[in-house]
Amino acid sequence: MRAVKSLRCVIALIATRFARSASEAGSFWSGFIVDTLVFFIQAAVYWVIYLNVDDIGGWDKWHSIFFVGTFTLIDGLYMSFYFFGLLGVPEAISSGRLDLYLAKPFDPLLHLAFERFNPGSLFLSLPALGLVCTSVVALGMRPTPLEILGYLCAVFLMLILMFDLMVLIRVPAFRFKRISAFGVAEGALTEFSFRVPGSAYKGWLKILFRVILPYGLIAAFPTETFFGTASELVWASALGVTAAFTLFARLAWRWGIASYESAGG
Amino acid sequence: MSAHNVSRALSAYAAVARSSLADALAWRADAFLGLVMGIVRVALALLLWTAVFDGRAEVGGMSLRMMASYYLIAVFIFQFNQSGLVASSLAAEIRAGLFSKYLARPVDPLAWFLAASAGRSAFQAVAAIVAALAAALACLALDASILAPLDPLGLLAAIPVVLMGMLALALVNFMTGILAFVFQDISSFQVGKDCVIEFLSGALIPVALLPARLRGILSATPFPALASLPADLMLGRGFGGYPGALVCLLLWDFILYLAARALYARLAPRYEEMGS
Repeated sequence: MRAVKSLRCVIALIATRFARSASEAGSFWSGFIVDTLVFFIQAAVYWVIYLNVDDIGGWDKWHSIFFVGTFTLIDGLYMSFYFFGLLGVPEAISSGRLDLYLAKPFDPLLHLAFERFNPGSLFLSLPALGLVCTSVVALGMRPTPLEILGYLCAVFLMLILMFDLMVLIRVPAFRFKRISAFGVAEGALTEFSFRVPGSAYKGWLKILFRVILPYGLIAAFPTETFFGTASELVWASALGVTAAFTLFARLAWRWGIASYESAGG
Repeated sequence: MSAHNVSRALSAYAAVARSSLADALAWRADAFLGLVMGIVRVALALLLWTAVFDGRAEVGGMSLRMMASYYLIAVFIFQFNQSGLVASSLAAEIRAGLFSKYLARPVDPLAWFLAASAGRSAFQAVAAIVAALAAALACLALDASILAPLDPLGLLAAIPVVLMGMLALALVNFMTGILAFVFQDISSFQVGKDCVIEFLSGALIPVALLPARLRGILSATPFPALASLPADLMLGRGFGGYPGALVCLLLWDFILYLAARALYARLAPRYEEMGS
């Protein structure tokens, strides 16, 4: 019942924000243009690497293009729905603005996360899907509906994991006044997960970047699912890691709220 | 403007820079974490390139040793410039209606911005150099042959390049910050600008790996001065076009200064002091 109410509130927030964005055409289109720019830069990094090498960890150019498309798809979706909202969490805590959210009859974390829904970033999904489709055609693949469904489920699961990771990076704001260094770390880890194909992780790196700091899962897991290299064990570990991080994020947020002094600054 | 007035103005902006430095020093935990994260960033770049090299002796004419040294220098030099943070504060003040304080005081907003950026960047530069040395020592302790030696002459040659590059980026950041006179939220502009500049500077991927024509175009911009050019100089490379690069940077600084002045003159009258 509580989950249904939260979902309704999230949908209402997104609808409100969408209507507001439509009335601010400048901000709407600037978001779209900038996101597309970011996408081209990221694609350019891979282009430059493949100008100098034939494969990375056994993935050829088209596998990597599919991987880039998948990451961009996830990037576009999370930037649309909760990225900018969660980005504002430290400021809401340090300024005391969080008080307003605590007073409302809706989950304050979800409220903060989804109140800055950015429809401009949704358009980033179009070139991303273009990359995914192009690489599928170039590889001569004919995916079945089940493979496509598996891929979409993996993308959705990774969106939840990304949400949890973003929350955990920002919870220290309850303790520290300024946490821009955590943002730098997050940027580095996100970039890293984007540029290193899943097949490149070996030994302890696999544990580090797929379980402890699971940024390595974000684009690699849906890609592996699509190419049929994600075994039942890989699925179970992805589900387990997402469940564990969802729990950590919730507990950490509750701990933060409990220690929140509402002092502002 | 008389010499006395110039001296008074300089002392006022020096006070702004000192205040900004003191502000940066006040956030010690954040500064410490920033340094740790800088080291993490270098480590992640090394992991990526180890995967790309995968037994290859060279990629784009660079050995893994050269690549490791390049990233160690480029990533930390790119962190020096903190004018992006000052631009974010400026944009927030414009949106909140607090920009009036610059109008009420006898200061020039662009000069104030550059002075505040200089103070904050000075602290960050010292901290980043300490962190880079610590990271280098840790690398050398693990494997003495992992890093290439620094060229002392290149180190000296890199100083004016870094300073002029930082001035160019500060001017770009000022122009991005004052877009808040027009837009409700400039964070998307900042994300886009940071991403493009990181790529063009060579902090993301060495400029040496780009096709020759693109390298030629980039060398006519101020961006390589933020990471790639100083890193190459410090590793004993890139001396060929050095005088030309200095002239080019001077020209860019001048053009960007004029552009910043023109944009401020155009956008500032839109300020309504109402906040949002």
